Amino acid sequence: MSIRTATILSALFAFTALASPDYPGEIQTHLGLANIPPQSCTLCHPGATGSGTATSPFARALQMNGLTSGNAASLRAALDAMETAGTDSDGDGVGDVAELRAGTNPNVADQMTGTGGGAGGGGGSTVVLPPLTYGCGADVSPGLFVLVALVPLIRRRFAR
Amino acid sequence: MRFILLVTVLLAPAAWAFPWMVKHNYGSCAVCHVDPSGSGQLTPYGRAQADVIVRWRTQPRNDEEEVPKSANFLWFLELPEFLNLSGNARGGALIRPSPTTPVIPLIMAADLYATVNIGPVVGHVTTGVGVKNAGPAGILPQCSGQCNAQWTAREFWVGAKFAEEAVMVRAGRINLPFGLRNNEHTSFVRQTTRTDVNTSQSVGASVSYNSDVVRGEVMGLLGNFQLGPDIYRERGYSAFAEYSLSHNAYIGLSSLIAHAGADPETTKATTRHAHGMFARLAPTQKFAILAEADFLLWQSPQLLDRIGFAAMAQGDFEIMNGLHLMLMLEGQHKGAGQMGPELGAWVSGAWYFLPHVELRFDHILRRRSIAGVNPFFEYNFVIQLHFFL
Repeated sequence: MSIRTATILSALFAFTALASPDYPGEIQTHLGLANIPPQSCTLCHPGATGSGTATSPFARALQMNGLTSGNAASLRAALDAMETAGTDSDGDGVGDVAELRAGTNPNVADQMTGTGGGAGGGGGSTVVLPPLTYGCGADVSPGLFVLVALVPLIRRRFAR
Repeated sequence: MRFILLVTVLLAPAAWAFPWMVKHNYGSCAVCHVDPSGSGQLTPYGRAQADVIVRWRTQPRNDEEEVPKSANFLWFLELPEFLNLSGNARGGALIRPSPTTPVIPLIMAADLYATVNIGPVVGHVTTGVGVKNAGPAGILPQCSGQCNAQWTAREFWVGAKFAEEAVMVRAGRINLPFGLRNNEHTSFVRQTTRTDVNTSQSVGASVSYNSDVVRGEVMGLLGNFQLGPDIYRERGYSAFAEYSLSHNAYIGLSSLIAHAGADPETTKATTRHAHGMFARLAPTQKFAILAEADFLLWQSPQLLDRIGFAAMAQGDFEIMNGLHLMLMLEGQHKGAGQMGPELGAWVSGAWYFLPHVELRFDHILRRRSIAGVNPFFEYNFVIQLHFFL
């Protein structure tokens, strides 16, 4: 294989890492954050609620700085390199690592982090969001109440 | 005996429970699936069809052929009529030309399904083990995306059938009714509209209708209560309706509007729209065309509105009974300042070589285009073995 062919192939086959579940926690630990970033998996995986290939601008910047999947050391090194270089993936004038420290999103060209809920909350104050969490411990599911509420209805139907 | 009669009366050429069933005169999904809009657990009739029709065979099927015992749960166990048990195990490997991790073992699904039918009432629950990306379907507390394996519950709902089973009302955690319920859950149309059957279920209530001419479902979304806090949950509606132009041509419309106080991707308050069309055509009994195109809109008071699209077209050619070759082209744009659309091409094969067993491969070449990054290409090869218990 010629050098030219190898170069073309390596350019074509630029791959993204698979999900590395420990990375949000690793970012928190390495940067000394109070919580994991509020975007959790979607910080790098913009697919449906944090699934799919890591293709966010922040993820691409990490990969360009040597990140590989399942390798926490490569994540720490990439974060350090990006902080030193002041990498700003969303071009909003605040570096990615600085945004993580401030609780803002390095993928969105805006230093706001949320409205606290509902539409119409634009402009003005910054509200730091709680981190996105998965699992039923995240909250009580009203779906359970729906199911429980249906039981007497079903029983009544059969009683007729 | 009842299955035998059904199968021999309703003669149809080979197929599994997929949108390309249209080429075998199966426009409706409800006859073969517990979910009236398709995908997931099969009904006893669907299991029989899978074994008699879908499976690979080199000789033409005898019309009087009986349903083999292997159509039963675990390939042998005949269950009482009110109880439907099954499972879904899908594992394989992702192979890519990467210097560090060229081969990555995958467990894509390891789920058990249970459905109880008591008169018109249906109760359905799925549970299993998910690895890594199962986060939004996980049920262990406070995983925060840091678990290697998760206990999952993708669907759990109760419903009731009315009007000779043409209407079904359901409440619980349900797949979102939208577009083609295709198997390729990582395709652009499924990922960008967040309507894949892997992890995009929502708690809510729905009404579905199935007839020979029209089928559809409307669902009110209360949010995914397996992620939190509440600000991240999307509420709104999702719906589709499909009309049969003829026995081999179907056209449908989909619509979804959902609002979250903080979108999980951008963390901004966002109202998300997806509205589109889809079609299923079968020019011959060996060939099916599936297509979907969706208009996308993201409205946020803090950011400029974005418009985009996601589209796909797939040709499914059945080389011989139980052996499929598929070509899919797809594209999307999220309206976020990318340098052109994202494009993809899939070349896939599926071989149903044993009862309830499938061997599948996918070559996936994509041009990715992300704001702030020069477009780049990525290639993945996925091979998987699928058991349906």
